[in-house]
Amino acid sequence: MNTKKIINPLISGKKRKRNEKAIKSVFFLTAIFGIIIIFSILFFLIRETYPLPTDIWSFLSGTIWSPTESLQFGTFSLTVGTLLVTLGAMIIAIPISIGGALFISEIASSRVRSIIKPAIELLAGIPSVVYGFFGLIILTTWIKDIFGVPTGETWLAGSIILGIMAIPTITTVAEDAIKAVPREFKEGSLAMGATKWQTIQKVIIPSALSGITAAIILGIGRAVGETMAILMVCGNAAIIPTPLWNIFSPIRTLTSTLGIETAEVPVGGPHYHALFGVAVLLLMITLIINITAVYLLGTIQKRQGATSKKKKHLFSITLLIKIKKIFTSLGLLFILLLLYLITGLLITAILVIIGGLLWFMRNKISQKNLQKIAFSTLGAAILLIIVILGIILSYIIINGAGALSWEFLTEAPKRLGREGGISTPLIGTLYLVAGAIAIALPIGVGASIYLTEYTKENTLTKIIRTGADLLNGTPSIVFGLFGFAFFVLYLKFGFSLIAGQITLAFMIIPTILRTTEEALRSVPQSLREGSYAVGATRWQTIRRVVLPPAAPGIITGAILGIGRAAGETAPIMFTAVAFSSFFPTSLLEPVNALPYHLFIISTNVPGAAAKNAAGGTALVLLLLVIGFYSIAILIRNHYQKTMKW
Amino acid sequence: MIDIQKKTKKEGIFALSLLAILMLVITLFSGCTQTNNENQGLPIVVVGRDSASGTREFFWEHVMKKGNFTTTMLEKNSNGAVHQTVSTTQGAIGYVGLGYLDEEVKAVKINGIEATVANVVAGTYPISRALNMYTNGEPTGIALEFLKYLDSTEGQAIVEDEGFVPKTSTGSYVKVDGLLGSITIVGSTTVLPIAQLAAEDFNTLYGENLVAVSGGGSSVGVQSVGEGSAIIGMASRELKSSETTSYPNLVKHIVCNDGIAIIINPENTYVEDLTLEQVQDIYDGTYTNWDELE
Amino acid sequence: MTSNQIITTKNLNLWYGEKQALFDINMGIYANKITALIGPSGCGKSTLIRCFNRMNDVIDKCRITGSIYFNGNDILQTNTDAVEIRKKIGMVFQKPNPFPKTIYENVAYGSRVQGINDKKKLDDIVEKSLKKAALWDEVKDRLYESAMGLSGGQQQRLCIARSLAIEPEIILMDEPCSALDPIATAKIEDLMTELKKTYTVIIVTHNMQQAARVSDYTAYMYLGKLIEFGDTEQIFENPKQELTENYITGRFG
Repeated sequence: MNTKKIINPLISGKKRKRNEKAIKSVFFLTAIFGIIIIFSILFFLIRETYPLPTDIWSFLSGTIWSPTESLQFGTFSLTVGTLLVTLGAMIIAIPISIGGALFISEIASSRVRSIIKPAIELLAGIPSVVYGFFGLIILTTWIKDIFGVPTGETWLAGSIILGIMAIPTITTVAEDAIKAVPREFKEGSLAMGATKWQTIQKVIIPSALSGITAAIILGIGRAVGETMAILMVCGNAAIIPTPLWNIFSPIRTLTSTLGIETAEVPVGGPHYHALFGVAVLLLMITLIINITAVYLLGTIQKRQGATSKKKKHLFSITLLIKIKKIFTSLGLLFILLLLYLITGLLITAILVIIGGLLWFMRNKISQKNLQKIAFSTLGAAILLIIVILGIILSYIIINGAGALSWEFLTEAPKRLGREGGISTPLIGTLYLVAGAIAIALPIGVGASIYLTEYTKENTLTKIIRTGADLLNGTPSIVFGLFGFAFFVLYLKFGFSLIAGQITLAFMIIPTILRTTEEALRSVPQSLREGSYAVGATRWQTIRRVVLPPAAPGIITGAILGIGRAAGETAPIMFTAVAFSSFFPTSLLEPVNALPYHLFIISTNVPGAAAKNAAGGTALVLLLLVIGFYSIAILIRNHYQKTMKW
Repeated sequence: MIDIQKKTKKEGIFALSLLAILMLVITLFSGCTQTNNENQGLPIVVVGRDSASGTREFFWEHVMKKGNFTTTMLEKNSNGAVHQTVSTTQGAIGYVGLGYLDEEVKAVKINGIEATVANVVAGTYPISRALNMYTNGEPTGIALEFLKYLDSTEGQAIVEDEGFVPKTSTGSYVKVDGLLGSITIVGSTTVLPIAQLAAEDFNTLYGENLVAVSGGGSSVGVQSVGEGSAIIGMASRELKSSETTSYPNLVKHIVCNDGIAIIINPENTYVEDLTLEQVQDIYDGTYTNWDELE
Repeated sequence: MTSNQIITTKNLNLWYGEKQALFDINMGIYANKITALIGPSGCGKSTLIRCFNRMNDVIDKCRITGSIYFNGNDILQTNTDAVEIRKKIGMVFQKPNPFPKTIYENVAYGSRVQGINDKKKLDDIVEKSLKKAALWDEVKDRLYESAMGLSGGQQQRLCIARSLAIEPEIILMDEPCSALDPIATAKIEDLMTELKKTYTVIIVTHNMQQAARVSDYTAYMYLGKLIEFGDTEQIFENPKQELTENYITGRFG
């Protein structure tokens, strides 16, 4: 009968629906994984903090950190150290990065852009141990000689290194924000006879402001969480600089405390619990920073969509202008005071005179010349970035090229790395990243498929996305401590390959999630509609229509994740690594890894042979990571060209 | 015709010159500050180890007499890092194992005694300690053989090569038959080089990978051997009371001795010789400039 | 006849990279008249209008030869300043593009970039321009609210007010009504006729009725070439070229 014919497709439809549901729940599970990780990190860190050897108030406000001798566990000087180093880093990084971002997106010709952009992305790819290595040997010596201070291991050195490391983060995010400013705004302004510089100043920067702010906050988050480089260059004296603006004082951050003390601390003692307390404190600080960034980025998206709400001005316009004037003059006075205290009277006077001259000439300079000066300053910012990159790269290459040979790559280290090569750390690194990517890729891709294909924007997706963003901003050393508490101790894996792989995987999931989501979103909606229209199910559509064009984007994300995992030291230092010359035979054995090998032979093995080997190892590590990044950049560029024009 | 390229080139030149001016200002700047700091002696830069270090603990007990370190002390997490900072910082003072002495740093005499292996063996150099390995109960099998190897002429030769202070050796090592399996050694980064090198030779001798060594620090070493995840634990210190209560069966085995040298920069011409009390006063912040010690 | 031609192009050719988009354009724009550019999509009419205020400078890989004379000076010469030209030749875009600022600041923008910061002067300019754009009555009570809150038609008139504020001689309009409903379109068309008294208007449009209604002169373009240029009446009633006739009678396009 007719009814049967109608019922049949209905039944198969039910079956299909059930399948679809199953697939959807798998993706859902991967999507909430990020939240689970965040909470388990918090849980295990807090679990290990208990019992804190002191009350919370003196833990937070005490200024003396002497965990083994006078048994005082005050972290205030560490928190202040973290904040000061970050502040200095931002003073260096913000003007350079935003100048750079403006130069790339608004001024540079497409040929110049195609050189500069990858260069800045490479700066992001340099492992932090390599930065530390460079900072310790070159930068601190420069600071000592140039400023005539007793030691170069100072707040200033830390800020410079962190500033350099934050530049790529800020530049790329700020550039995205600037690029997102609608072209119509720009053309509208130019058509009114505004110069390019006026357009940038009055239309582009205000429109991109919240994006730029978010970029800065992300940069701050990155700087606060950095460990290996900072512990090598800023002296680690747990003091608050006296006077507070003494940039030549050594300083200690929360992360470097964790970095230098965790490895040897007796498990379960008061010092151990206090260190986990430091990790919780650090995590809290970065969480606050990242939540602010997430919130700000959220407001941009809202503003772009909706028409603005009616806003009554609380004050009249003229009053507002007056208030603004008062604040700017107060700010100027404050900066002058700071300048005077740091550099002395003479220099302040010179700077004030120069500034004053510029101020008076401001109206005399034609808009054209003003633009020239502005563009040159922006160009100088970019040039500075390139110069820094050049110095670091050439230093590492010059130091390492001598050690490089086929044998160096294929032989196991002998005599503590002084002889032989680096085959075991090299292979160990490859094992670690292979495992990490095998775990992170399905989770990251699954989560982003769930976010883009299976749900509309709602509270849950917002929470998932926020979780991923927070995970992205979590300092790598916090992952290390979590891995140590959870895998090594709680699950009794011991120092093992598997513990390192999972810890690294957790760290790179957000990178993969974000790039995959971007790739999926760039697939036009019309393709999906076309597929549904011929009766394909959602999963069929994803598999056959959405994923193939998104594949290059996903691969790019994966490679970026691999690059990041290969260069990281902090997460594996407490979970997986051993300074050994064996290949692991099971997942439960420790491995050697390149960044760790470099760290150990450059700091723990005496003699010239070790220094030579360290140079070689640094170069190989750099080439490996940069290699991964270059492949990712090449794939992306190729993909962009073929997809868009 | 609109010539964008020419424009960019012009801007590039302008940018370069601006950068040059910036550099000039910085150099001028530094010139000014530098003159401020001359003729003031040489400030002492105190360099020590991190709070979790066994070497620091030893130093704190035997040199500082459990007094507090100055808060401005730079903290490093390895001998190599201390060496690195002292070798590049004119006013620096630090402490490292004898193995880290080379021409880049200068060891000061303590109470008139030079920091050499011979003086530690003779018992005249005052700052030295034992480096230990622990097993859970009396060692057997591979562990026993490896400890024997360390005590032998071959083992103690490694100790000497690495700049540590050897014990009297038990004579040449004799290979035995029937060793099967493998053991892991975990712990102190100070003992690590000796264990690593000895393991390499030991494995070569038997033609098999019997012994694997990794670091982690003294505390990790003690804990690992106590919990059974390692067969031998290395420590550059004695057991703490908490550790002896948790792991009552640990058996100590002295590998060798380690002299701790007080090192300064070779360009530091203020001192050649310090007393232990002076070292203590430097590390607790009583002295802040080398000219107070001249 | 050339005496009241405010813009004259001579052998104007334009390439985007390898692709030529304009071929030997020779035409004259008469002062205080409305000239309409019509033609099928991709015929180069928007490209041409963007040449008049050097808006194509913004695009990478764009190359132009030939000359455009504005008041007797060739604006394509490298030594003429695009910024100066744009102060004299204003532009209104296809999609209303007010800045994310207040209504007041949008109109005052052009004056501010020219260095006028006197509040009284600005108030004056804003009021005058908004009145000219027939928007004053609708927004005078909410000058300090965001321009993004206006309707599409109001936004477009705001953009017109914005370009009037710098007192240009010519106003270029690139399909100004394509994103608007018929009522808003009618308002803008009325406005154009009003503006013609003081300004020269060049308009790109897809809508042939609109061209016929408002313009004095019409240029028909096809595949980057200027096919026919003349009196609007003549073009629509008695086109000389077959291509023009085909397009106007709707035989293709």
